[in-house]
Amino acid sequence: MTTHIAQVFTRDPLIGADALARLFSILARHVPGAIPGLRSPGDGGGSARAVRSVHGSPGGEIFWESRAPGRVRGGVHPMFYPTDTHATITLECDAAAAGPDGLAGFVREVSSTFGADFGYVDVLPGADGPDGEPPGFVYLTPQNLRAWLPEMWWGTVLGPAYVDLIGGDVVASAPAHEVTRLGPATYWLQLTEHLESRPTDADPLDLPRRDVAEHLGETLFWKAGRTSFVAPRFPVLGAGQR
Amino acid sequence: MVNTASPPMRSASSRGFPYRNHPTGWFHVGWSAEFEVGKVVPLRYFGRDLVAFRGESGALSIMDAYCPHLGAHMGYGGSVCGDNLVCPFHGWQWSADGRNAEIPYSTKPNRGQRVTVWPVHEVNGLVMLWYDAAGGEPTWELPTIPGYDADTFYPVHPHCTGEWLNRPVAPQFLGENLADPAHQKYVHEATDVPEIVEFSGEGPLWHSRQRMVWGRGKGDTWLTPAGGKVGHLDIQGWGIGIALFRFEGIDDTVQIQSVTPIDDTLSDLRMTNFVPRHEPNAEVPTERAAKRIEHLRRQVDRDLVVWEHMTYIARPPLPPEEAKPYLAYRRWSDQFYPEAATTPAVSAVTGEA
Repeated sequence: MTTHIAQVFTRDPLIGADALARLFSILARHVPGAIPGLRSPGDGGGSARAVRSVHGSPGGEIFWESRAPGRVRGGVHPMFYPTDTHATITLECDAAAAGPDGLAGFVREVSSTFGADFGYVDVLPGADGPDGEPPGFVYLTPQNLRAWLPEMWWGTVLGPAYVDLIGGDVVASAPAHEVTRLGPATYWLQLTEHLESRPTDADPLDLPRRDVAEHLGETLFWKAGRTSFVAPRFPVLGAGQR
Repeated sequence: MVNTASPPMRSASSRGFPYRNHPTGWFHVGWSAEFEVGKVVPLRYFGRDLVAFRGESGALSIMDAYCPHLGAHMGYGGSVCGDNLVCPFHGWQWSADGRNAEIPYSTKPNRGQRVTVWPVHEVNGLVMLWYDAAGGEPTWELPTIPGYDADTFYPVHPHCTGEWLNRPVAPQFLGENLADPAHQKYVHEATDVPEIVEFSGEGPLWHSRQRMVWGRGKGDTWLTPAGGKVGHLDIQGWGIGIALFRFEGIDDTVQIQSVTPIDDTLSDLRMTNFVPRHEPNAEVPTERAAKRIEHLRRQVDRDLVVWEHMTYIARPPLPPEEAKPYLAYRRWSDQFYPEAATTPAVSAVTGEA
């Protein structure tokens, strides 16, 4: 069983009940098995156990998870400090819970709704352990984006900060399987037709990843032996309410 | 009481040097023998805090120092597990290629987290670090000194070396000595100004030869026991931070001098002498060899007196005798400074004085 992973970095601070309600309604449309439920059994309304962090409402983080099968881990990190540049949404689901294109649809809609600067969808390989757990996880932070992008993902959202830096024409002409404009200066780049229909060779996406990364600019991407990278200067919005 | 001025703690650019960025190239950050297997060493160069470690396989890695997890400097209290660097704060492990390899209290690593890894090359017993302000990877390799791998020389570290740390000196100050025969007389007490018989700069290599009469007019000395001797000082500059000297006609010693920027103001200077062994398997130079190394250390001391206090004259009033090689060196050296890249780089210069 493979694991589908996704993250979105939004300029919307995701603070307040309304923002979260809109976010979870989008999640329910695309990945209904991944929405958080209430902590008490029998309440219904979701398959995953939700935990709200102690950082305080309404700006506190939310984490939720459930066990395999249909294993899900999710998290929402609203902007907290006035110096924060992005809120983040993180989702990790086994393939059964995600559905074939569930995370891609979720990330695309969330990105256009909440103004994403960056987002990704991909699959973690080799999640064949007895507990259905993948061999690793991916969790990026806004601090990572200020330094580099780790790699090209199967599905990638590049928002205004990256499009301004790279150039709209360059992003729009990337040699990906699909390049879709999601909104103003916001693009979805998809490397193959389906997330789960990739060739079975080792590192099957190596070539398209490399081609697209080279087209966008290799200095955007982390690489061992490279000591300086090109990254956007994200504006500080002062939206965090600490 | 006279208030003797200390060396100027000012950046090279505020001392008149026209470029603010450090030059691109290989820079010497220590000797291989100093980086033992399993040892973690904090470093600071090019304004960056770094950490070096040698894994059990023998591979040496140099990374940015701060753990992406919660910011600990991994050079202080960090350890080595296999070929991984272990953060002292929470035990996160980082592979030699900079990826998160293990989180000890989690079942799996975070595949998205990375540490910046610097290109490292060990050659001639020196640990070399590649620097490029734009982050680019190495574009040339440093050569092995003939005989180094055949135990021709004494082990270089520690007895054949010298180091002068945290000095207000820029790499360019060392570099320009390679095209400056006149300073041999006034700084290093040569009897005459040597004649520069050839010079060229091609790609990363500057080469020049100065015709010397070693010990001229000084009678019989320990260095020239049969009186003055005609020879050459053969010089190679590999980029700006590394210079290699062969003292032809005097002995077969080869010397490498290096200047490695710590930040905009300070640099570490190092000297490595490849002195032929007088006896097979001898580990420590004695007698004439030891005296020779001490003599060479004093010569660096003499250069430092000038370098530490000088201002940089970007448009110097050079007489014709020194203008050709000096200006050729400056044109050649421009290629290593990113700011100069907007003008056509001179990749090759050659000439005769």
